[in-house]
Amino acid sequence: MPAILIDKVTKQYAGSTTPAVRDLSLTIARGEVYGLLGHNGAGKSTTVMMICGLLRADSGSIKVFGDDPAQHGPAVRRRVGVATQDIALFPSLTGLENLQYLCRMYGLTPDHNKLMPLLERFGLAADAGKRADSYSGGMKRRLNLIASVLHDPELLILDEPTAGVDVQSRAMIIAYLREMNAKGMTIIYSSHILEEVEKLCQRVGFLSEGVLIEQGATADLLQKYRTDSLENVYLTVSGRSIDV
Amino acid sequence: MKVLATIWKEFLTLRRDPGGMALIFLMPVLLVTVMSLVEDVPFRDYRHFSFDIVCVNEDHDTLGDYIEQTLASSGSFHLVKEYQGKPLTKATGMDLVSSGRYRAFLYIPAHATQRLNGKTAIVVQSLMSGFGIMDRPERDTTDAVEIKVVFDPVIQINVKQSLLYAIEKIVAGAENKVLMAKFSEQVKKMTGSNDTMPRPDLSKMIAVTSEKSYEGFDELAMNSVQHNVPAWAMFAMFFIVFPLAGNFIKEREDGSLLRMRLIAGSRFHFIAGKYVFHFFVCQVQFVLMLAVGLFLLPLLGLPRLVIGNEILHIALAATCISLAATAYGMAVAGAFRTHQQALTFGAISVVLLAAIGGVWVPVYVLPHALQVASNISPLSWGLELCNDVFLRHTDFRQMLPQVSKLLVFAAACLGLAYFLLNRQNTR
Repeated sequence: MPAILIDKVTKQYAGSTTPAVRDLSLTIARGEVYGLLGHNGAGKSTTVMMICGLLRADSGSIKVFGDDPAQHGPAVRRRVGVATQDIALFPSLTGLENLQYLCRMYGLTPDHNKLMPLLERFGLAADAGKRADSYSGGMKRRLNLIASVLHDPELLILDEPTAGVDVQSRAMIIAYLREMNAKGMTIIYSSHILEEVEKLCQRVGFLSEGVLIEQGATADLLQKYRTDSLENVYLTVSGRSIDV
Repeated sequence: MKVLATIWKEFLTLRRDPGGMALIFLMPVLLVTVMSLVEDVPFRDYRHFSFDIVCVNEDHDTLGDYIEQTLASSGSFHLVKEYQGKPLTKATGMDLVSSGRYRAFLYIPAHATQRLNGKTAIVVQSLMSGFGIMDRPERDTTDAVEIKVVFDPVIQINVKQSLLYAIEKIVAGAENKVLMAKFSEQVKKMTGSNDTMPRPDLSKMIAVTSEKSYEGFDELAMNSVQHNVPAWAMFAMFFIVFPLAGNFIKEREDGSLLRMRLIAGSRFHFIAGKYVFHFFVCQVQFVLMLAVGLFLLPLLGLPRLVIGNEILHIALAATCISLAATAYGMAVAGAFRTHQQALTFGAISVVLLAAIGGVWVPVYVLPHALQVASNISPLSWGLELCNDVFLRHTDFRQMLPQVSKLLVFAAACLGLAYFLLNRQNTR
């Protein structure tokens, strides 16, 4: 059973003239790192929200580990972690308090022996007692990622996890993701930094105007389009830059 | 456990937000203190209020002296007869009022007594002629004896009416006295009697008395503190919409609400935790406002707030009001998508509900249409419930109508809030 099976899914928001996602079919295997790429408004966030059961598809079907997220949202969300592009933390709580609170909301007991090693791993242990709003952009991103894996998800979805972070933070995040993937975690990775995607993802899919316009193994795509970068592949298939 | 965690999270958030703390706790204390002081005078008993009146008495006779003495002895008025050491004239008296130095000027014209006597004689002769005792008098074509009262335009209408009423009452009394005296004089003339006619005591004919509606009522009177403390407590508690909706929408905007939606089974607990925390904030506000009325305002020379003796009834009232106020904040948070929309609507709606709910002025002095409209204001229900408990000493059964309204309102708002917040989850 694949981690994610999306079959001919369409989603159009009320008041919009065009679908945000149109006839999308996608399969992601367990233990795979899949790069979901596209410009702003291409339909990535809508797809992620449907995978988590926070949005209902108008048509088509979605299965996450065999469950329909629209029907069994809580069961799906227990197995999925999402690091959103926004820093979804409570700014007036300290880094540690944020994690403790989120642990309780996951129904877990905040275990100091589990949280502190995670904070240390991401270089935040010394600042664990400081308010999250005093953290730098990179520190917030790292804390945001920790907050997404507190419940040991089988599938981790990351939306621009390295946006606006320093080299050191980026290296920590990438190294952690590799380690988690090696332990069997399925990862959907969305980023504008295509070099990272090339290095991390086994397969990538390109979304444009809600349509999956191309997908395949990273190496195969580079070979197919006779180029050395995914940026060029994206330019060729979509006719536009990914930053637009 | 999740609800408790959210309550703790909200507590930490508020504790670390001095601006929010000031808005929730300090501003209402300042508001109730200032409003109680400002509205003290309009609520004050005018029997204990001495009002300066410029008085020029050119009559110097029975009527003028009687009016002067009665006004002066009432204790409510202080007659100003000199200015800068000089006796006042009609012109200087007018000047003092038109320049705004004084608020009212009473002018009793020369020969007022003499003219009143003349008019009274005609009235008595007219009465006697009806019995064929005297000849019918010639018709009185002279103008009425005019006692003039001039007011500064800025004087409050109720003060003006009170002053006019007092003077008219004194003048009516003077007329009665003169009439009775003249009547007595005529009868004596006709009968040739030297005996003094017995003077009837008119005050014993009709008596208007006030009854207390329950034991202990006479200790109380609606005053500035008794009105303003519960009224502004109500306002402050419903103003919880401001921090509550603001906090909700901020968390929605910065993505932390999305994280809650992504955590399985946490949404209900998250909303419940927020509701319970802000409910307790309202309870603290209520207790704080009562403490202001009980301990702070008396130190500032205002009456002490009377809250009755039924602590359980007070607790029930506070609980119902807090439930309604917090639920309203949740509904506003669910209904709007942006900070600006929610806070603008929240603030204006609470001000409107307060205005028609009798927070600024008691409902019974509002125009009829607004009195009808006040029936839909939860602030009016809350205020009425406070008055029931504090002043009317009502029992639980009598509290039920207001309690029911507040609880139904709270349930409706919570249902609406949950529906709206849930809709955002599955649209």
